[in-house]
Amino acid sequence: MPDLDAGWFREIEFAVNTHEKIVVCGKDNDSLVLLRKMPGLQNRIRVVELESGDMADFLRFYKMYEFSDRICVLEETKQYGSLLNYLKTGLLSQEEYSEALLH
Amino acid sequence: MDKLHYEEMKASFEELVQEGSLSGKKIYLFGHCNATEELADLLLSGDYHPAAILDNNKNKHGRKYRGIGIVSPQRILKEAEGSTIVCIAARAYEAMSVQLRQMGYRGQIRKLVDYNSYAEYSVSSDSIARMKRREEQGEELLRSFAARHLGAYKILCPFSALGDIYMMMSYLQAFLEQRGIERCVIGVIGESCRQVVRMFGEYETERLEQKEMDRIIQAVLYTGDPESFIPHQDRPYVVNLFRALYIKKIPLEQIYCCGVFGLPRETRPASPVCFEPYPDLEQIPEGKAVILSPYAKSVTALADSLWKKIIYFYAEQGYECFTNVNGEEQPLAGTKPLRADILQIRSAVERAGTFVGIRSGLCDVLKEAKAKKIALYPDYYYCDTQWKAVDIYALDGWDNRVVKEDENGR
Repeated sequence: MPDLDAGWFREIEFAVNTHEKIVVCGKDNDSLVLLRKMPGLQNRIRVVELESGDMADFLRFYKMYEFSDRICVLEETKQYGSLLNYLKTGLLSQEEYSEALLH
Repeated sequence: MDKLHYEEMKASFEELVQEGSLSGKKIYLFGHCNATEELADLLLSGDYHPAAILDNNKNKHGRKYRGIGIVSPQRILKEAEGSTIVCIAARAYEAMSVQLRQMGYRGQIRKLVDYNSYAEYSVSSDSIARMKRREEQGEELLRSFAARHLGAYKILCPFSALGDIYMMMSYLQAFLEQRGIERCVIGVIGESCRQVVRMFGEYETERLEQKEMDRIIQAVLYTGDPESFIPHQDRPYVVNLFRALYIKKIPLEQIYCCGVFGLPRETRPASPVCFEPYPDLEQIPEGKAVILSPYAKSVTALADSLWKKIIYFYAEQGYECFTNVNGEEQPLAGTKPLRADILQIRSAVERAGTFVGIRSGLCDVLKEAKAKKIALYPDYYYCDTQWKAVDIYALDGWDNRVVKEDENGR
C-alpha cells in the first residue's frame, strides 16, 4: 500500500489540483536540464522533482494505476520507447523535445 | 476501433436509447478522433444528430465531420443546464470527464467504450486494494508466461493491430541485435497478428487474450521486468511518443524505427520472407483483376457509393472484382469474395495485379507486394494532432489517395 501521507504524494496531489499538466521526474533526470531552458516554464507546467527513493515509490503507485496524460513521467526505461529516443536519434531537436514534453 | 470495442460502443448506445437518456437532449461528443467519428456515424444512423464535437485542439475548431462542428469544450457551458449529454468514445475518458466537471459542466457524461480500465482516479483504500489485487494477478500471469518460455526475452504487443505488428517486426531483428538478445518470444493478440509475425520468419510466438495481455503488461511495468519490452507507439499514459506528433510530423515507419526501438534513422526495415499461395489462385484472372479491401477495424469506413464507383471503373475495363473478406464480412455488390489469410493475401494480390484498399494494417502487410496498389485515406486527423492520416500512414511506392467528404458520398 502506498503511503498517502508521504511528502511526495501530497506534493503530486497538490500539483495535480493546481495545474492542468504536471511533469514528474527524479532530481537526477537529464531531461530536467533541457526543460529548465524552456522560456516561461513555470507558467506552463508544474515540474515535480523527487528524490530517487520517492520517485521509486511514486512509480510503483503510478504504474499500478496508469493515471492520465495530465501527468507526464520522465524516467529512463528500457521497457518501451520514449520521446528521449527521438532526441537521441536526431528526429527531434532539444527544443522540440522539450516542447513535446510540455505539450 | 476494433470489432469488440465497436460492439461495446453499439451496446452502450442502445442502452442510452432504451433508457431515454438521449431523448430531447443536445448530444455533444468529446475528442475528435477516429473513435468519435465512428460514434458520430452510429448516432447519425440512429437519427441522432450530435450538436458538436468538443475538442481541446484549437487547430480543429471550425472544422466539421459529417456536418458536425468541432468546437471548444467551453461551448457546452452556454447550454441550459440539464439540456445536454456528453458522449465519449475516446480513450482519455477519465481526463475529459474531469475537465468537464472542473469547467463547471453539471450535465450527464457517458462513457461508451471502456478502453482503459486501468485509468481510475480514486485513491480510496478500497480502490487501491483493488488495483493492487489486479496487479498481483498480472504478476502471476507474467510468471506463468515466462515459465512457458524459459530464458526468452519477452516482446509484448499490447494491441491487435496488423499494421503495428508489421512495423514492429520490420525493426525487431535490428533491435534484438542492438541489445545482444539471442532469443525472444513474441506475445500477440489474435491469429492474424501471429501470422504477421510468421511473415518475418520462425519466431517463438504466443497468442494471448486482450485482458491477459493488459494485465501482463501492467505487471511488466510495475515490476520493472528487465526481460520484457513493449514495442508499441501509443500505449496511453506510459508511452509518451505521441507527444512528439503535436510538434512534428513523424511517419509511422520512423515512429517505430527511432521512437519505439531507438534505432538509428538509417536502419533498413526487414522484409517479410514467408508467404503461402492462395489456394484458389487460378480463379483470379492474371493481371486482370482487382482486389478491394473496404473493411478496417480501426478506420472510418468509406461510403458504399464510393466503392460502387470504383467497381464500375474496373468492371468497365474488363477487370474481375474481388472483395477481401473475413468472418462475417460480405463482399461488395458486384464482386466475388476472396477469403485469403494474412500469409496468402500477397499471392492473390500479385496474381490479380491491382489492389485498392482503405488504409489499414492490411496495406502494411501488402507493402512490398508486386502489383499496382492504391491506398484510400478517409480525410480524418491522426488522433488530436494537426496531421491527417495520410501524413502519418502514407506508403512508399503506393498510390496514396485522400478521400474528401464530398467524394465519400457525405
